[in-house]
Amino acid sequence: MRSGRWPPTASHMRLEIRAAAVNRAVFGISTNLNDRTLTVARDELARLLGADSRLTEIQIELANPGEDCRITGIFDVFEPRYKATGPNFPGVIDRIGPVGDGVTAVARGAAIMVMNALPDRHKLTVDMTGPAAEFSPYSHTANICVRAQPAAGVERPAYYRALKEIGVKASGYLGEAANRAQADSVEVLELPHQSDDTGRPRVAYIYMLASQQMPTEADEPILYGDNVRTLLPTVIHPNEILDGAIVAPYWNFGGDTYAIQNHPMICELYRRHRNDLAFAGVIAIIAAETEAGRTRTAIMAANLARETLRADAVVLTKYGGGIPESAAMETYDACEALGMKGAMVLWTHGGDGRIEGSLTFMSPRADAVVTCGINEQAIDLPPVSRVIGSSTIGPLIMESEDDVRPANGPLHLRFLFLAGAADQLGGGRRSIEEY
Amino acid sequence: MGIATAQICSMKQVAAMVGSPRIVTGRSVLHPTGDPALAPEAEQMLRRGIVADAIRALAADGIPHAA
Amino acid sequence: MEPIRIVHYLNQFFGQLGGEELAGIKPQIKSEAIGPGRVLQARLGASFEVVATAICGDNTFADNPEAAAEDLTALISEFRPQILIAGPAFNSGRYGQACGQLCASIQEKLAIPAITGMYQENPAVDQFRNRVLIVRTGPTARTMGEAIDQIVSLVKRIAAGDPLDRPAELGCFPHGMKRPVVREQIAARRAIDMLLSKLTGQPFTTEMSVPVFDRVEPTRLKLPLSEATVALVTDGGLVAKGNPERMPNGYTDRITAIPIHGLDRFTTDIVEAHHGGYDTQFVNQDLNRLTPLDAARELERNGVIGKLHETVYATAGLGMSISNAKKVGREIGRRLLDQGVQAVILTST
Repeated sequence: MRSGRWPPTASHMRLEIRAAAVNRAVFGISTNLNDRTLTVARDELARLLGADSRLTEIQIELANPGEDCRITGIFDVFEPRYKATGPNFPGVIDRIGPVGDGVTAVARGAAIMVMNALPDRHKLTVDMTGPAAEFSPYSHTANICVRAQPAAGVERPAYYRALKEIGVKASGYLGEAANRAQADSVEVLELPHQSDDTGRPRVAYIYMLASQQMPTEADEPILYGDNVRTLLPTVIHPNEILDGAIVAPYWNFGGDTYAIQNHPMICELYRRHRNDLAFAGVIAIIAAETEAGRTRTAIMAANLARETLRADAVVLTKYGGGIPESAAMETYDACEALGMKGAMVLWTHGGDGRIEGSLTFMSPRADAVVTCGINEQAIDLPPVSRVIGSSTIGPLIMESEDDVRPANGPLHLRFLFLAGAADQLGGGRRSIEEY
Repeated sequence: MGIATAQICSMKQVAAMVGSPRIVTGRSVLHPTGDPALAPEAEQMLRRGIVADAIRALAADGIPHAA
Repeated sequence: MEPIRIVHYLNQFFGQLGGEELAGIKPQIKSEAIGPGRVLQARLGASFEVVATAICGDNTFADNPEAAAEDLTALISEFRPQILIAGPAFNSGRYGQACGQLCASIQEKLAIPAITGMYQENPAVDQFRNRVLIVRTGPTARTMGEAIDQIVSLVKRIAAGDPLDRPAELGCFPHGMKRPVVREQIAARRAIDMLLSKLTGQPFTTEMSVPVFDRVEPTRLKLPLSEATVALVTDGGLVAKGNPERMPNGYTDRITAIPIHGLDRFTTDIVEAHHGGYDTQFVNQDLNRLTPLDAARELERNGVIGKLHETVYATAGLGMSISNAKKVGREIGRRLLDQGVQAVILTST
């Protein structure tokens, strides 16, 4: 290369996350974050979220850790974040612009629960105390719960889009309070372009964002506002993912937006970067509904990992149900065929308890698999005195039409429907033991 | 005594893993023997072709797949 | 302290009644240790007592396993055993079958531990290991000494109240089952740990082992297709309009039977797709996209196939356990055989 530098200033993407800690949320006159208490101006937030012709009846409730309280009908969860130097969740409301660089303020310990008022077989629940707390991260966050009804004539896809938008709005609005507060911790995330990582294995992460077994809607915002309907394997910087480039699909099957903002696999790779490995980067893929699509994805992702990211090894996670297992396995095989070592995180089907029914498809070469638990396994939750959200729960997936329970009663709930407890991105401690 | 079977599916590795003897590629998990993106006549042709593949498979010996 | 009461089960040969000519003898019981039971007693010592030996002919058991197990269980219960030991059966198929079945029955009916021993290639291993503790033995009675040592060691651990929930650590075949656990570290950390071990050649243990499936020998069509009756089957959740058979949309062992007499193609007023595992909107616009009735009727009219069977069977293949899948497959297969069908085109989503 000739002399002369380009770009002239910053040499690589560098994200500074300034986190102000939150222990509890209260309502008050104006929104601010002091002394680990997030005060929420209820009316102001309701007005902000209600300025949307697709929605009516905005309701905002708070639920703090330890309260005898259940939140039902959860559609998605967002962490409050504010980005002074760029768009917040580009392509959802804000213009599409760069993220992953600069400073992002976070109200750490708070979460926005966006609730779905329409019947849907996939809605999530969380309890703020009791046995759920061992498994759900959201039993430990101060939760700002937002519920809105669809306006007359608004169809499901438009309503779901509006729900994502109010999640994003509330995230920015509450994140702005964190931006004004003193940060309790500052974390810098970067992968400098230097090659002094010799000796450490280069590990790439292949991240399945969505599954097209339930095709995404035309205007469903997932990746920079794109619906990833036909996404080809794409190299993406991990900072972009943590900083709002990705919003969970409407079919939030094992990884909500909060989990993506705090992506457990990416955080783990960052934690170990330049210790026992070199974080080579992230490749975003989808599970395609056609065989050709899945094979194309497997080949291209494996080639990107080895040839572009120069990876020695890959770790994979999947999203969605059975078809993604096939897609992930095929990608894993393609990576191993190129000489890279692979490991992956998948959940397990319970079936009749036999090992051979654990997955829809398992490659004979898949010798390093971590499970995030049995997806049908259930937890028994005691009655609660207060419910935020719908007054009944069910029917959910795997349940019959008449499986409708009072939301405040005792609840036999599959982990799949306990918010954050069936985390396919690798954040949970649930697993299986073969015996 | 048994029944000769041909399986039309999109997740071919799954069928092979469990030992399906005659596997024919379906169009998609969402529509194994059709495609809404095609014009009606083209879709009919596609379906005839897939079913013809299944018929040819039925006439042949099955392959005991090794996973 | 009273010795722990053991009943031992043997076939006619090891029970010293006779060879193959006596394989038809009825279940019986003797209040003493016999043959390998004497070796067992000697090695178990005075804390244990083999109070009786139950014996049954291998053919008697094989001809009616449920009845033989029931009769033997009744005889054995009279002796109030605390542990049942069956065999070891080594690589003997009928004897292994009897030992496995009896252990399963005794565990269930008498609620006491019941153990046996077999060689890895005995077909009864795969049949019973999911619910019976089966000690690994050599292939023949020449390895009886080692087998009895293994069994004695297991009996002593049972008597000591040791946990029995990890069979492989007890010298037994694993049950081949899984159960939920909560681990120390999150999945992401475990995956990276595993990956680094794999990269550096260190040992690691996968959390999900690669499954092994039964193999079914493919059936050849024994007559020309132009003379065969061909049926359409699907796992994509085809139901009659309104789902009158009330088949669940997944996690089911149920099937639907849809008459197609007089139909040239599926229309949306007759059938619909009811399945929770994929987006059914495209097949619900045209059900021939799921089950190609129109194309199959053309083949029937053109004489490519002899006849299209007048019932389409369906299920919803979502989250279906292996045992339910076998049940559904057998049920559909049995009905199709009864109805004279020779070939099936199965569509899967």
